[in-house]
Amino acid sequence: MRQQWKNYKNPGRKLWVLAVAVVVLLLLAYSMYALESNRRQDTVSQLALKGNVGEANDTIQIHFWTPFSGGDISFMQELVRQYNEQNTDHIQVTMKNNKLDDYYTKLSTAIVTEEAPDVAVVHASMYAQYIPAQFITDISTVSTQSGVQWNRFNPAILKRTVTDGRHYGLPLDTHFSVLYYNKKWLEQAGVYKDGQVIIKPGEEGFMEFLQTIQRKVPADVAPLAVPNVRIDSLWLWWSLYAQMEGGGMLYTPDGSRALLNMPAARQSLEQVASLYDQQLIPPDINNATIQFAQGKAALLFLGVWSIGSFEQVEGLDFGVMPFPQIYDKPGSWGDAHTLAFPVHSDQDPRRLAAAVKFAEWLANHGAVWGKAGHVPAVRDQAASESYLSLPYRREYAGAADDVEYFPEHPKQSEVNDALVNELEKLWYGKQTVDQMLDRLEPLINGILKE
Amino acid sequence: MKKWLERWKNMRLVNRLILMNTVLISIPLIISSWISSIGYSNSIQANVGRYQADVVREFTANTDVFMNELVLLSVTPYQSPELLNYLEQSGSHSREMDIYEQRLLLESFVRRILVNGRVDVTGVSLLSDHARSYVELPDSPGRFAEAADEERVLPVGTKLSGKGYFAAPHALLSDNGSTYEVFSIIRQIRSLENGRPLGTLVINVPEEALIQRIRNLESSQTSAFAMVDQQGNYIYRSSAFVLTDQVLTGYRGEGTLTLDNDGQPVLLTYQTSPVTGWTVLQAVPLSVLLQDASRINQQMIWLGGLCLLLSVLLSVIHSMRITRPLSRLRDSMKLVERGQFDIELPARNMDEIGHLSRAFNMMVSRLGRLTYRLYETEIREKNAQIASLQSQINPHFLYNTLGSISMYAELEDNREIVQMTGHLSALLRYSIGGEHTDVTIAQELEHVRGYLAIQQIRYGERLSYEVDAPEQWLNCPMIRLTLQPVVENAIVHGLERGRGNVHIVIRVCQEAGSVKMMVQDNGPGMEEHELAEQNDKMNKGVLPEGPGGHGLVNVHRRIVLKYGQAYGLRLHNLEEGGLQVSIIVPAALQIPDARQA
Repeated sequence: MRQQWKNYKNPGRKLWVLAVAVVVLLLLAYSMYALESNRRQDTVSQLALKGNVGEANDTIQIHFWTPFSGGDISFMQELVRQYNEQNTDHIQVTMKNNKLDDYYTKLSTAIVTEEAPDVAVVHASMYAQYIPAQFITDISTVSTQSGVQWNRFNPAILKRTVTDGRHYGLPLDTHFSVLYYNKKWLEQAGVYKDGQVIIKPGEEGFMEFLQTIQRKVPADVAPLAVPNVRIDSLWLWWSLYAQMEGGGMLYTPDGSRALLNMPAARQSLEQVASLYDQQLIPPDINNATIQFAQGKAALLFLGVWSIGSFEQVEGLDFGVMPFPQIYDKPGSWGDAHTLAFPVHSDQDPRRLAAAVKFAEWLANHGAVWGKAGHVPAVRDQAASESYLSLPYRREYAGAADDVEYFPEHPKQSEVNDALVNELEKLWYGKQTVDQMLDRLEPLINGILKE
Repeated sequence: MKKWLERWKNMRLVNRLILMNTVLISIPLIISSWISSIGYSNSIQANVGRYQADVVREFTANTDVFMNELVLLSVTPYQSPELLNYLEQSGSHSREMDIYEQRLLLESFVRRILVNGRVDVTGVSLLSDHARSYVELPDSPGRFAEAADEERVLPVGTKLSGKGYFAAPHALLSDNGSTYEVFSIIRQIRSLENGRPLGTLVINVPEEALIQRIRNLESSQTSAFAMVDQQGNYIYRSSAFVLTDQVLTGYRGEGTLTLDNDGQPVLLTYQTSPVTGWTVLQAVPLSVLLQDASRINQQMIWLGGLCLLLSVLLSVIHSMRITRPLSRLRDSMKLVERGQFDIELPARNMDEIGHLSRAFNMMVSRLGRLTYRLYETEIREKNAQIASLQSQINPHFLYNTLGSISMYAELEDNREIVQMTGHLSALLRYSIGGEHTDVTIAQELEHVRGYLAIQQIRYGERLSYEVDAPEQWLNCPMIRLTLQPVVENAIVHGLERGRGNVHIVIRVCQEAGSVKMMVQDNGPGMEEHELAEQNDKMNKGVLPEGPGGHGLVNVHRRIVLKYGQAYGLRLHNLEEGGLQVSIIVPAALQIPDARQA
């Protein structure tokens, strides 16, 4: 009897001890937890110093400036949105688009006042100014750490971002002027058959081509639309000037003085002037892009960047061809978008690394960006089926090799501004070709001296 | 440990319950109030810290809005290409513009900053690296700078950068010799073309604009502010700011922490403005912040103590309520053990205790009834025996016969027979005529004398006796037929088993409130073990087996039953030989007259 009782009692007692132990442990654990959770945490964040209070949770805010004023902005917005969603590095990119006309003034001011973004689209032609001015950061070291594969980039574009073997940016694309054509009007003029634009070579061929169109299309349709108030007419002249043997020069080789190939400059300038004179380019074009989109222009001289947006215009049956070779060699004005990293006096290496990561991602999604019309700077992207399968890309992608950049010169943007001014005076009849050519070299020399 | 466990196990139930309840109630109560008290003060501290941080943040944001105006003003040179051109001119080209034009340009530029409609600017200086510098100091007209002006307008420690540098309030000497307390934004102007430094723009603002903002914030004791510049030097320090001799340069960014200030904990909140690089600090002693918390804590301790006391009290009462019926049950059980069956426990409740009490009551009453029935049976049996005995003896027949014998003996003139029958008749009358149980000592003595007279006739010279009974005890009540068996015992032991003569002495005396009748013989007495055996038999009331020997035991039991354990027979050997048997009964002068009532 006693034995039985003992046997019955023992497991019960063990259970009791266990239960009490568990309860005591829980109580202890809870009290520890309660004490711990109530402890006031000292909160110290050094990040607030950088002006980004919201970064405490390790998200890196990257500011990104762009100068896109064509239809290409929507493609970049889409890319940035994708990146913000997909990247696993806690990088948040805030994009700000600017009008191209003020972009470099604004960017320069922001850089000298230390308000610059972390990454900005900078045209390859600006490197000649920005690198000596120390406006953009040498990313050779950072890019090595991030594993940027430079050999994937188109070397022709890449070399413009490199000075003395140091990398200052990641090429994004190359873009250049092409001829957009409205198939309906060209067909009506009889210069478009079986998917081929029929144009005879040389100056006369080009003029005849335009004159034919002028005769055959209604009077309110512009044979060739060129935006007349902006830099576009400079691009047109430059394309022609550069097509000539010995053309395309503005400075002496050392860049200290102006030097133009006067005969070539004169011939090309007269050619452009005659387009205006014969109203092959009508004088009162307010917005050439809209005019073409509305079907009120047979041809449009514009960069590739508007292809993507024209594709979305309903009822517009258009084609794209490289700017025709009129003189000694094919070629048209072009430039390259690169991603550069403005200098900050107290650069946060984390932010720079994040910006480089973002830039590399962008460059590697060149085929997507190419939907806007640009030719990707990363070669495998430019050659990818997803890019080439887009309409017209096969026709003009090859012209990327004939791009005629403006000369690399620190004062080039100032010279461009001056040239645009002079050209406008010319189109509005304020001066003749000869007068302008006489003024050109002293004008450039004046800018160079400053 | 084992000892404690043992002690715990043997502890009274009520104490065990109280102890356990107290421990079980007080430990969680104490722990929980401890935790909540700490948690409360911590959360107060956290909340205050957060609130303080908000105040500091808001202040910083407010100041930054003001300072941003200055920042915007300091970017003005970039909006004026003419000015940038002027600044870019190296000395050789400055001749392109004559002094008048230069002055006009600079004056209008400075005017634009001075008269901006938003910020009260007292001085503007444009220090050019290449062209001539221009200064406009407080209360003086603008002029081209002198050699010493740069030192005058640029405070010591200024870090030149393209981003505006905010210089803490400092003294600025005007051309009229008066001193102004101003703070400044100092921005290096760089070329937009090539990034080359072109000059420095200094905008001076009266110190009051800033100090007034901080003062507005100071309203109570808890808002003690200080502001330090980039190098950790005080820009402003309110008198209530408690931190002394602390290096404040380390606190850059944003944070809240607790510091030890001369043994007193201080809650420090700080935030560095991203615009000015100046840090606003708020430091409040924890004791001030936690005043309320400690008061509430005290109240909580009081309340907790009260609750503890109350619950302990309740647990004591409750334990007692549980255990009291148990102890009552135990006490009742003891009474039953002693033979008391007329106990009834109150059993009002229907709980376990109630059931137990009811069962106990049932058990006790049954037990009582059983015992009673047993006694009754025994008594009835005895009564029946006596009745049968009495019916067998026909006293009248016996008396008549004895009377006839006595008459014939007288006719024959045989005196012995007459005497014997007379005594026998008296003996029988006394023994059988049993209506009165209570008799007096005198009656008993009379009866014994009759008995001895008969025995003397039988034994002749061998038996002698003497009676010594004081007069005053003769009326003392006595139980019938108690003395005679004792005397008979003496005769049996002394004469029938022994040799020689027997002298019996009967003596009555008083001893401590009782009357003692001693019957002594001069026989051989009893062996000690026989004596003990006999005493034992008498105390236990065990009747010896077989015939005889009942006499003394019966007498003793009758006396004990009637008067209690203090009375009865006492046997002991006399020193001179022989046995003395004492009959002890309560002393009374006469029979209590219950019958006459």
